[in-house]
Amino acid sequence: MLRALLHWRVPLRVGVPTAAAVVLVAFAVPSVWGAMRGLDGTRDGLLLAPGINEREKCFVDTHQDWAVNFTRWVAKRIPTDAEFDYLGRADPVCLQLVLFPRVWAATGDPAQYRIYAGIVPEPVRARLRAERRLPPASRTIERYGRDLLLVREP
Amino acid sequence: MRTEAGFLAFNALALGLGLGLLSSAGLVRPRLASALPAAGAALATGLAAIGVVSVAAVVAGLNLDAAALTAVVVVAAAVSGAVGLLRSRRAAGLGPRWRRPAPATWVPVAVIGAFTAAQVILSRHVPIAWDAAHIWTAKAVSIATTGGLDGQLFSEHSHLTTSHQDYPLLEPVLGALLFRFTAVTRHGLLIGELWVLLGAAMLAVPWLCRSGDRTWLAAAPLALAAAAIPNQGILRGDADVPMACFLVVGAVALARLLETSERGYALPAALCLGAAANTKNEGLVFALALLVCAFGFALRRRPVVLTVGAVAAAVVVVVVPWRLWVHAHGPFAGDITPLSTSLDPGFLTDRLSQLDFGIQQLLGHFADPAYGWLVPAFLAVAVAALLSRRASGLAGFYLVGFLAVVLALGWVYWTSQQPDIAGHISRTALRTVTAPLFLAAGALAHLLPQLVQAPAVAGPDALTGPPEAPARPVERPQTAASA
Repeated sequence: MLRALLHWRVPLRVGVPTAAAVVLVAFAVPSVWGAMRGLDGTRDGLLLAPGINEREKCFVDTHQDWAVNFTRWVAKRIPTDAEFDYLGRADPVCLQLVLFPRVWAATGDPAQYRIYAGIVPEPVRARLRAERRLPPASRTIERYGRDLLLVREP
Repeated sequence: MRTEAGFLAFNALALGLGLGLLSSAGLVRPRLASALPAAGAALATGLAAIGVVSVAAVVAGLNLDAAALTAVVVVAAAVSGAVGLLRSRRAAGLGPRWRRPAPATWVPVAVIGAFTAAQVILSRHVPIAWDAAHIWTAKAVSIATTGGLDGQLFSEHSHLTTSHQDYPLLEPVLGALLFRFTAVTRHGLLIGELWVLLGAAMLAVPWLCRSGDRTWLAAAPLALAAAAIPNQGILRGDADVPMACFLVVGAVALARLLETSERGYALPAALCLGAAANTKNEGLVFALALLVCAFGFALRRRPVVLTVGAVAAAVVVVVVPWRLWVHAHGPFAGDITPLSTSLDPGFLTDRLSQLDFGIQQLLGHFADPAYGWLVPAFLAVAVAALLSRRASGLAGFYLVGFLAVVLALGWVYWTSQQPDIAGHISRTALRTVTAPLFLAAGALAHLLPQLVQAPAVAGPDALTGPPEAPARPVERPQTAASA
């Protein structure tokens, strides 16, 4: 362009790197400034709903808001150093994330607690029915809602 | 207060270890005028070293513990620093002399530092996005909680398949260490560390290239890369940017090794490429691709070939522990089709449309202004360098390395067996372009100061120099802010 407009004879080896350098430097500052604003927008987009902590957001993102209060209820009943097992419809990774430092036991390892959310095997239902006759302190199954259970293993 | 102190202490340890390692490699002399400009490279190298060793440690069943790590890092930094001191004494009198840095040198450094600090502070309470909640931060919290690879997240036949058990572990391990140091398992801390790593990589490249008074010119493409749209992945806790950071530092160190024949560059190259390979699966492919290219460019110089071979061996060594763990605990449902399936001509022919769409997506992002036009600028500069035979070997290495990385991505998309392949490519191409983008920025940061300056000052092109007389490095004096 310089050659055409101003009759400057700029060799390729100088012209291309210089043009690239001018363009990049000219764009660098406004790009960084724009990035700061864009990042602010992304941060705002990730904002939490009122009353939801940063880990519970996982359930909100997967449209399982119902699991938030259930896991809060479970967290109050499982000691922080206990291991649990889980079967259910709530996102399993979100459940583990929310319940840390309680650890979901490795497959095949014994767990002190079992959590059921929406899927309850028949033997557990039978055990729940059998325990209705027991005083609350003697029961090993606690019920949060329909098919939302916490089982303490002996 | 404990949180901030823990965050600073962890990074100070990484910085100290990195300085010790770079000093033992002969790249930094044990004095402030030499160490200060190397801070970015030292931090990136230190984090890479801590990361790859910690991954091997947890795979070996060791408990990740802040006190134990501190002890090991302090000893390693002291030993490597002592080696550096001995080397420095032997080469007494050859060190750089202090001179006041020009504004063209320290202003871009200050801008990168301010940008990084602002992002660390602004991101300290950022909530967890989907990928981080299911993969990176979830694993970091698990490792911080148990100290190792325990529980359902790392179990055989795990129910948590969306956590991708086979994904490399460096980011979660660094996050877990940070949580242990700060005694808080807060996602924002991990995000802050990713910003620190980005800032360190941006400072490392001009220092590795010895940009000196032309640091402003080297910093411009790096600033564009940092400002490009993939940086939003940091806020989401994705591992693409940290992998790209390690990759670009490793690639530039490798290029410097080829350019100057200085063996010292092998250390940051090996550690950072190893860290990239331990951060994401594609990082392993990219690192191997760059090493193969480096072999090709070093073939005529036996000592350099041997050094590149040593770098490749070191990368393999740091990658093996996690691959062994995956092999022992798998098979896992992965994103990558095994070669036994993908090399079938019929399989490839049936999926040609995937290759077409994948390459279209990648090229579309490269040409998108939101990605800083770094790739078109890099291609123009590299071709101009090749045609004009100035820094042509260096330009050739970066060009072939870049193409190899893009072709590797194309291969992954070509052979992918994802059910919604168009959606998969569209979603992931936004992130997977990060590594080639950063590579282009690193190449421009290396090439532009050489090509724009007067030819008489430019060093000889070692990569195309005669094999019997390898070119000696041409170093400009370092200044305190030439990082």
